Amino acid sequence: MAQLDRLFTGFILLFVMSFLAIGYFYYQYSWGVFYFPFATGIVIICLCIFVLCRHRPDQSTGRSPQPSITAATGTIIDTRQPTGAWSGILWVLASVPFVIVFGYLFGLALYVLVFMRTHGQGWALSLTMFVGTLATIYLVFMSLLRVSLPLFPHGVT
Amino acid sequence: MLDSLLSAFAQFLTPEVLGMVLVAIPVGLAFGILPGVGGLTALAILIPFVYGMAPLPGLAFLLAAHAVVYTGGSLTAILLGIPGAPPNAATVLDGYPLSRQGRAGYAIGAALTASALGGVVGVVVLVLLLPVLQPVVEALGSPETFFLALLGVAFLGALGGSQPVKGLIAGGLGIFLACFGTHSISGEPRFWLDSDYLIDGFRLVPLALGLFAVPEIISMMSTGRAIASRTQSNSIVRQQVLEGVFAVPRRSWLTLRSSLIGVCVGVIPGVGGETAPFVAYGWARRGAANPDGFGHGVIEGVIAPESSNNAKEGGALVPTLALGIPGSSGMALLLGGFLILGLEPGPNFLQNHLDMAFSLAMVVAVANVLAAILMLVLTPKISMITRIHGHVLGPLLLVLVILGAFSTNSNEFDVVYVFIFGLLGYFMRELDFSRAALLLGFVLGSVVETYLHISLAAYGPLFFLRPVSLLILGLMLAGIGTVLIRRGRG
Repeated sequence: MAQLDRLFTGFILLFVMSFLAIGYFYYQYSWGVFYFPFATGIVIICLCIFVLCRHRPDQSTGRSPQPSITAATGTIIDTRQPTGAWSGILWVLASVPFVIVFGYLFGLALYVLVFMRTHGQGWALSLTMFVGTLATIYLVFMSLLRVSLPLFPHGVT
Repeated sequence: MLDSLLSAFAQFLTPEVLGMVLVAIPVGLAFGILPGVGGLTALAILIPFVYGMAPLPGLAFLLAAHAVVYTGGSLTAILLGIPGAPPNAATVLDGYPLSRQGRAGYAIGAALTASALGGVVGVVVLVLLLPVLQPVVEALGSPETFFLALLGVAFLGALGGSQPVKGLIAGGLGIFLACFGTHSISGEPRFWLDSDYLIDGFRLVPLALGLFAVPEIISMMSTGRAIASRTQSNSIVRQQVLEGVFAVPRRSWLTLRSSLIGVCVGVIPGVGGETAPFVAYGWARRGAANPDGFGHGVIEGVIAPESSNNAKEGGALVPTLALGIPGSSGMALLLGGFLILGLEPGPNFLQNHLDMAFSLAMVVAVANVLAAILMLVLTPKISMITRIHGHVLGPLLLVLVILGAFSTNSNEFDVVYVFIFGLLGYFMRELDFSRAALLLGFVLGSVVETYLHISLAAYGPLFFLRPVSLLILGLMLAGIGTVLIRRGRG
């Protein structure tokens, strides 16, 4: 986790430095346009360097490193999440091909069906959620809120 | 003034106005509950419906719907960790941990009661200030607005998490991201990478949804766990709700102070309502006996932002009605409603329609109270959502998030950026960088830059020497310094 913390802080540092370099060398912004992001970027860079320099290998920087004690009850509650959420990340990203191939209306409903079935939910519940998702998208977003959702696969009109 | 108040009561207590308020409340709550579809979207969608209405019923409809959006948004903030609207992000900090501890009812009871009381305080101050307002608002210039915006970001960055430096990095990154897109002063696009999408910069809704909703969805989908690690029966939830309701009057000073912060911030045009809950949260934490408990499920961390959230609407109405200057982005849209209905807010409006202004204040107060009562009754049912298996709730929420992001501008790039910011939000959550600070920095970034530019142009580099500016700067340094010193000693 400490290594991930350093990597993430370094990523922020690189991100800000990259865009400041783009602004200065590529776009060649005038000072009036550039001074504010430049000043903000310098502050972020300094703070990131401070975090990277003071980072010690034994410092735990994960979320809720210890179980928290609720003020109201005094009970120790373990609010930590297990690590290893890559399956969750991949499944979130997996919604994209469903939308591209089947469009928003059917694609998202189908995604819900496939996800629930592959994670042990029964056909009855999965199909109910499929139909419910279709109905909600159509009635709430397309009819009531009049959102122009692409119905067809990406690129098909 | 007494005549105006009596006339206002008479106008308010008509079937048309009361009917519009009763219709608007569930509409506003529904908009607040849907992630990505917040107060601005609600107003934008509802404004066309008031064409042809009489002025007061039409305005009552819009104002009541807008006033209760944050009440609905607090529910998703607490139950799902997803702010229904950006100002509800402050409620996530302690509301969601309480929900995960199986105490959602307690958090919701407190949030709804604080919202109702905050809304009433905001209205009372509005009514008192309206007749004497003009010199107050005119005393607040660009330097004060600049420092207040900065105060919000700095407070949250330094006080909103367990590691102040990381919080300040997050806040600064939010301000930096706000620099993308067309420069508000010169009109030159910045950091747009020759992309049409980025000419207008990043969008708020994809950022908020990505930062807060996607990480929770990732967790639900990977673990399959319900939100609440402990489930409670409906009777215990009802008990918790009552406990939450009574927690607010037991913290009356906190509630009043947070409400007044909301009103003060709401009064200042341009800062917007997003700062108020975070400033209130920061002050609550600063004054707490156990500030390190914040962020892990402390009820004060729910009461403070919720009471200020609704109080700010009364405050934002003040410059809107009295000067014709919108006190928030929502009020800017509401001004459109005024014009559609043939009214023009400003000093003349108060001279000629002071009774209508008071009626609108009553609308806000009553809408807040009725919305809170309605949600309190429904809470045991609504809180069942925390018991739903993560493998069922996760994909459904993801669908809502994708649709919410797309529906703001019908632009698929908004959905793309939800995923990008979602990854960012996930790692920020895991590594204890404050997502709320980033969001607030993003929201206020353009305000900070614009008012810095105006302040430098109008007053030169020593603009901060104005008395009110020095006061705000002093408060900021004192507040942050106190907590940092306490932490250092601890």
